[in-house]
Amino acid sequence: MTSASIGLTDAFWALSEDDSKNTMAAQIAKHIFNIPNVLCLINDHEKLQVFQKLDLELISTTTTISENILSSIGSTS
Amino acid sequence: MYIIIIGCGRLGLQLSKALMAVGHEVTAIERDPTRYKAASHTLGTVAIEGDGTSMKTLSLAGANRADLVVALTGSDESNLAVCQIAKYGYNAPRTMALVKSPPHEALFRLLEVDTVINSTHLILTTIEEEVPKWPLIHLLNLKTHSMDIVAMPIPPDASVIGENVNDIDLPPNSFISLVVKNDGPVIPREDTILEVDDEVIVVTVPSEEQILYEKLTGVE
Repeated sequence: MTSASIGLTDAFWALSEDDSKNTMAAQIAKHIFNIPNVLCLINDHEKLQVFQKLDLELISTTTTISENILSSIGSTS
Repeated sequence: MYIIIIGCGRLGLQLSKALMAVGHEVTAIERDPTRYKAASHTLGTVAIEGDGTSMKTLSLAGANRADLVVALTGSDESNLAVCQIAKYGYNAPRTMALVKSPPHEALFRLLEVDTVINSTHLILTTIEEEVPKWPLIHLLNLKTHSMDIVAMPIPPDASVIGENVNDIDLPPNSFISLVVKNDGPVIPREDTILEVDDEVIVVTVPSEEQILYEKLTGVE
């Protein structure tokens, strides 16, 4: 991360397929480099609740898609 | 105690066996099919195959009643995730993680992994102890105060020899807490003089170690 001149970064998004890599990278960005805008992808939605407790901004593809579907169903019914 | 171990490499396997031998209840989780096979051959039903960073596997292992969760995989990322999931998802009272990359150690501590085992640091400490005349031997790291307890043999030509322990001008956060003499250890008193072959045990902070070393070994 140091080599990516992260000190100057305003936003950091961890979006890899590996949840553990994402959560660790996001926490390094947040706690070590104090980056204000950190986003972390959680692929396995079961872990969402756990990592929400760690004060991380999370996104989950399954949750986002299902919410989208639900809201589109809601809007047409 | 009920202990869950994640990662059944050589270390995880040895640890599981040792803990079971002293009467602890152990579950060992391994993701890699080949290593799992080897583990179940040695440990029997204690070994389960699965990803230790998934809640499915941890629930199956009974993480909610674990007294201790130990993450020993080869990946720092997985080890951190295991500890955080165990702590925040299952209220595990105590977590331990192996960390391979030394810079990650501080992060693990910051994120409240209870015990961080830094394999590089451990090996280095062992080497330090074995190398003759290595000046500072790290005996213990007090993680809550980030202080170190170090041992240091005083070289025969050091200028502090013959000086009163209390007169040595040490850095502000370093304290000589014990002087080991040929006839045994003494707690520094008003009249304790450093002699040839003495060894001192010092409580210090990492940033002062270099100055401390120069003060105690310096030849003037």
